[in-house]
Amino acid sequence: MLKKIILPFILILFSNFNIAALPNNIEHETLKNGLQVYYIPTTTPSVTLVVAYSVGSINEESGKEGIAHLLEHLMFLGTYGLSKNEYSNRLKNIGASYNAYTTYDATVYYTTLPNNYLNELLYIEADRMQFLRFNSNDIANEINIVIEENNAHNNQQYSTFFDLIKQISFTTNNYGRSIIGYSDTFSLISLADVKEFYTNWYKPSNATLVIIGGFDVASTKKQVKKNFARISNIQGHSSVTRVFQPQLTANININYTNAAIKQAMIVKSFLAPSYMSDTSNNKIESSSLFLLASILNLPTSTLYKNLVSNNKLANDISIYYNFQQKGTTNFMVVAKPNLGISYSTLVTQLNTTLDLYKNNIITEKELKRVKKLLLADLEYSKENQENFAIQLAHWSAIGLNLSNIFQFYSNLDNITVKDVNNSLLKLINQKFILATANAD
Amino acid sequence: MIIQENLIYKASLYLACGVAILFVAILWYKYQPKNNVVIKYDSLYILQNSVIIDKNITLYNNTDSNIIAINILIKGGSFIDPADKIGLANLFAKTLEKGVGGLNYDNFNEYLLDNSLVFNVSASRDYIEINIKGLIENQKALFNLVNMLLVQPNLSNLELDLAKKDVLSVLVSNSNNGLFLLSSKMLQVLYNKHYYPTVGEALFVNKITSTDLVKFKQNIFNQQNIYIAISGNINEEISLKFLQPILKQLPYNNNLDLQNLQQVILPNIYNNNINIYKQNLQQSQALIVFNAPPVTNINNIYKLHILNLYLGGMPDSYLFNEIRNKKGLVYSINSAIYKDLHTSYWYVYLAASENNIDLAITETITAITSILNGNFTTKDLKTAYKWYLLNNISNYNTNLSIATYLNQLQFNNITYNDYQIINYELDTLIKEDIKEILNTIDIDKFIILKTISGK
Repeated sequence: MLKKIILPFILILFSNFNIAALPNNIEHETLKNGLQVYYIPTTTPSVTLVVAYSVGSINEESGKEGIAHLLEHLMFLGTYGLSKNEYSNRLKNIGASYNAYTTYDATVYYTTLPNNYLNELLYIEADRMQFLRFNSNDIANEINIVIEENNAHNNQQYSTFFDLIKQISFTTNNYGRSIIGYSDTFSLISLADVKEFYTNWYKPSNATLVIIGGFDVASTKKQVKKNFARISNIQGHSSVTRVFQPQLTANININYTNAAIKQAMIVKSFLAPSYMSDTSNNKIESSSLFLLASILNLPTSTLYKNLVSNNKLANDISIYYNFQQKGTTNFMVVAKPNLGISYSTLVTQLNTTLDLYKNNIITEKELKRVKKLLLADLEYSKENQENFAIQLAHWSAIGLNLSNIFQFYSNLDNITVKDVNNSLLKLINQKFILATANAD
Repeated sequence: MIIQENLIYKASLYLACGVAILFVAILWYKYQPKNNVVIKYDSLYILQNSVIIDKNITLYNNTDSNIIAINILIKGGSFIDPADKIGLANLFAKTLEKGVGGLNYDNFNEYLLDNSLVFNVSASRDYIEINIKGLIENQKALFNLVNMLLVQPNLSNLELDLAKKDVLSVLVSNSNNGLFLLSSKMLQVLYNKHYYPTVGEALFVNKITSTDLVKFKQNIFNQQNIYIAISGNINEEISLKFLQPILKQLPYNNNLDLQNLQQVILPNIYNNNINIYKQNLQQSQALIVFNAPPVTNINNIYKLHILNLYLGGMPDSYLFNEIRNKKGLVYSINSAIYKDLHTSYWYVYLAASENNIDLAITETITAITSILNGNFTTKDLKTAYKWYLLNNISNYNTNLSIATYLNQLQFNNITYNDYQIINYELDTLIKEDIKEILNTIDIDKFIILKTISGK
């Protein structure tokens, strides 16, 4: 059943947070086969098309780690209708820039090109959604490339350190496993495995299209229907709706050494609900944590001043909170000690400062500032159409529709200082992982 | 009757065939890539619609936006670092980020946040670069920031101390970064003197004082040396109203004669040295470096850039296909032309496991040599040029990228007329034009820099 929503007038209802900062002409429809489509026309001469599939490493069987990411590579090797060379030549001839990424929860393909060629791109995307072609040689070759990608990943100073923290944080689901996969198990992935994975997950009911840029909505809708409406859903899996990780039962200390590390690092990591997995009323807990992370990340925060600018114990401090993850996620405080500062000194000051926060020291001023900054960020993000479209597609792939997104921003406006302080109190009273990384 | 029936039958058959052929032709045409593109808002359009509102100040009035972005280039980067103060330009840039206008670090951060300003300062070999963007409603605060940066930088020990910690941290982190190491080593090969990396070396950075910073500022902060480009919803009158009083507070010129320091270094790679460096990393990396046309010949550099796109600078390039897709030897491989005020070179970067790196290098050199020996066609160049032209449309969608692009042209003294000529030459580029350039480069002269594991 075709479903069409035009949302601009709804924005009038949300006055305080000014959600009109979001593009106010987003149209959405759901095709009969379940494909979600978002249309965001602007005045630019380029257009970005994003196709997001609700599948990632969270959906992999044990022993087949890396198959989602491997399939992402294979998606660029041509179809039964377009050979590999034809496929890449077509994209080159139309001036396209393209890339893709795989996360735990979604696999996202994005292409930016002059708007004259949108129709051709729609054809190409529909083609590879249903008629991807690859053989054992292609798989073997791509595995070699993925192994090199894994090496490049491991070359980054802290990659394996963060992988380890995740491995220990997430013991009941795939968030603790590598998205790229493991060299030991690549050889276990067969042609039949990859074909099955493709058939099960790459289908319209599991996909979202986002089109943003200078295009005519009416004629593009016709092209979308022409190319995608006829694609049927072969019976397969539905993406997991809930990913849960129980809280730690004890604090865990990790001492990690690696010759690749030149600058030491300390991470204090807590488990926290993501927006999707948050069961609190109006998602108040995750929304508060989102604002909390934003506040703590500012150089005006007490945390930053105590550790970096005033006491000069750390060179940098950052908060990582992946609230867009489908399931339970990490809330991490990351600090790099200045040269000559010991771990224990930095950890002591970190804990002392976090204890300070137990006294509700986050102020109304800080909260107001961060809300204002988020609005400004929304304005800036509208300039970068590609990023905006990718974000929207990713949210849709993890199960959020546009109403949810609007609701999220609306909720933020209702979050009070008390909510933020409460969320922080709950967080730091939990068990945690304290991890230190150093050179060999 | 029979004859008539036969005729009718034949006519019907021919008609049916004709319709079928027409139908197939229509289908074939419909699914062919369309080549007729009316290009608006490409780089030429932006340049054509920008206005030089004062000496070294360009404005692109983007009424579609509610953002203003400014890019400022101040000539004089690490190429004027004294030999005993390597990293001075970079440290100067980082110090500006720690407080200006008499505001200490905390108050400065509050100023930026409360006015929703996004701002950074960096140094390259050629210049100090300042990027600022803000919403229209905060334009006064934005230009006030420009004033504080250019006229009232603090440069005291407080800011310097904070900046040093940042820079030293970067130096420590980069000590195991293969690409950073290779790029630094490449400079040593290419420059007879003053090959120092912009970020400096810890030994020298530690010794830089606040007095050094002040002197550096005095050397380069003058009206002759500053290039400004603005893109956003702001007109000429308001832009000048803000900028002219700021610039008037700066000296017109200064004692340091940058012209004399700008010696063009002609391409000087003459052998096939292989330079190996050890690092504790799982993956090896390599740079293969060739000469490029001298910087005085910007037209030739642009032409070579088109071949470079085909070779390794665009998606699914020749090298990407040959070395990664077909042979699976690498994850990353790409090529680019580097150019600064003094010199230029052409390089290919690749990363592979240590088991594969030597084979990957050999195969890459074979592939490159084949191309540089003329194994490409005019059609390849046309494809690359088309990609370049069309991709430009997507590149200039943010005000900051537009301001940056305009300022780079301004800084390098490329006018609209120059750019039109360049575009014309690229549009009519044929294989023979590139071959002429390749003959001047001498494709047999290159150096290899490579990292392997070990201490």
